[in-house]
Amino acid sequence: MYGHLVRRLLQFAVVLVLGSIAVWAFTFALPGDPATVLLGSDASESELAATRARLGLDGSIVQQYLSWIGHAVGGDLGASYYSGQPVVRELLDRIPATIQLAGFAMTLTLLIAVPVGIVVALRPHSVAGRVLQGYLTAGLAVPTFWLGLLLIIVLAVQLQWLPAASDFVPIWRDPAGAVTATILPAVAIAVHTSSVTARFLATSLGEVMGKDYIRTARAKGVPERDVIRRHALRNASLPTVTIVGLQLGSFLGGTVVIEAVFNYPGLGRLLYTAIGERDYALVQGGVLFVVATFLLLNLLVDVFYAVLDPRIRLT
Amino acid sequence: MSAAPNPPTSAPAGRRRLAALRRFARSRSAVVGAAGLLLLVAVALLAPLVAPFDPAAQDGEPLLGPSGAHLLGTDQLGRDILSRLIYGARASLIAAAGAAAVGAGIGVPLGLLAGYLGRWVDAVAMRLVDLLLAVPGILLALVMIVVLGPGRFNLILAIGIGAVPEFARLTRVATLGIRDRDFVLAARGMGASTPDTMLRTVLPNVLGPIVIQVVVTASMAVVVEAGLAFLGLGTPPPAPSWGGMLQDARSYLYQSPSYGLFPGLCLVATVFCLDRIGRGLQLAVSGGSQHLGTRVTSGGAV
Repeated sequence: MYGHLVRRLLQFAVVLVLGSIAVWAFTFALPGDPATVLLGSDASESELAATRARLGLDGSIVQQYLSWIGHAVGGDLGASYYSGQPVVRELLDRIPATIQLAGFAMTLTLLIAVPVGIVVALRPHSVAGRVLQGYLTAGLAVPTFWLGLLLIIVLAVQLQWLPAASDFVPIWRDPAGAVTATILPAVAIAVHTSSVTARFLATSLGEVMGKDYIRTARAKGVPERDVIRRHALRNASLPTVTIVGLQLGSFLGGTVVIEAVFNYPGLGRLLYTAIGERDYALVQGGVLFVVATFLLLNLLVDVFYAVLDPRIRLT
Repeated sequence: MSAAPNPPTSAPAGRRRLAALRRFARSRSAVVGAAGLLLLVAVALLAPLVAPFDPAAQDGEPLLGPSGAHLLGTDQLGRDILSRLIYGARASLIAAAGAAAVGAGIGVPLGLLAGYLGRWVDAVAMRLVDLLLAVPGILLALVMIVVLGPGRFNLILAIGIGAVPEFARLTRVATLGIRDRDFVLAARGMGASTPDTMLRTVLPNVLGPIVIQVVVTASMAVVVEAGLAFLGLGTPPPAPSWGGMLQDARSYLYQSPSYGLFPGLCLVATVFCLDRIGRGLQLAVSGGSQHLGTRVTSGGAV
């Protein structure tokens, strides 16, 4: 167990350092010099030099990286070129909105995927099984952002039940308002992710149901419900945990388009706007945050996996 | 991953391939998918002949609903929506084919090297893959487009890079699975050089999962291209693209709700066909066993 964890931690550290280097180096690949962008093309050379010094863009490459990463570890990702606010402040402003949307979307995903996956795996030829299989096929084929657009057309424009744009309403302040504001983007995302998850669960559950230990459990008289719940589902849930972890990670920075559809003030929208404004510091900080969180989530999933499955622990 | 590479049997490769083709043809939904995709390719190629109007001609009333003259209506500039959809298929198909080529072109050699050579090559390649995986696909494409600048080729590159990790991982796993098999050892024993063994002996036997991944990547690329176009960063206008049309439709939801319907349906149909083909290939490659592994055809939560 400890050998596995140590190896995994080392990998995590290596990829995180590589990632920070890539994120930091990305501004060098960009067209245009940030100081020029900031001051306009008619700035004098001394003004440009002063701005570069302020942004930490003078000095050798290694120095620049070390100073950047040193500040980043200390929670200082510089200031947004555009608003002048600290990048960390800007990110922290949007993170609650992103976490709330991710939480809603993931809850819905699991609520749909688990029952659907079970029915599709156990009763593939029943009416319900066939209908749900149709749902899985459709859910995979329908692009998330178009579904969002459809939901807006039908529920917001035609029926006027829900708002077309989703503001961020913190759930701890106004639970009902939070649900109405977040439900449409969450549904749009969850239809796709639940189809992926349910397909995975159905496949591994189908595999598990053919195993000898299931036959043994049935033969010794365990009620079918318990066979499925205690013997089959537990074993089948392992690959699904990985997928859910990956999805949760992708919710952090990967919902750019859906946030644009709903005008939702999350992290993805912040990054998209920052890219449009050439706000390199903000893009850098945001991508670094997304990458680090994703890697951390993956690490947690692997640890969780080892806890769930003794075979991994022992190797 | 049930799509393990076919072990080389005594049967000649030609006959094995034929058997796989027959298994593919026996799956009805796979044939439907293939037919649908062929139709789409034909329509895209023959767009000037099929389209009733010039996709750029602003000769209708703006924002008409479906009617006899304009079957699917007109957009905000009075352009025929049907004609723009037909021409827009080109953008999607080019992105799909290009991204799959880029992903496979970089990912397969990477995976082959990592799996066959092992040791530090493997370690380095896999950390790179981990790193690429840590950035959500659409965000990666966004950042890459900003770095590379807009344009059709850069768009393909940006989407394709996101597909590299899956290709590399699949190829690596399949290569590991056959690296120490007798026929590989035999090739080496007879004096084949390492590159020769990799390309002539290992590569042909790991192609199965790769072919499926090509289809999966194509369907991912269609969705990501549309998403980027929706954000205004996809196929550069004035060339029509489905995602770009959806972006326009979003601005006129109240005036013309039907506009937003059709480009999305085209996307759904394309992704559906590719998904069916992917499943059919899986069936063909896994030797016709009913038991199917699942491959995520995920454009991610775009």
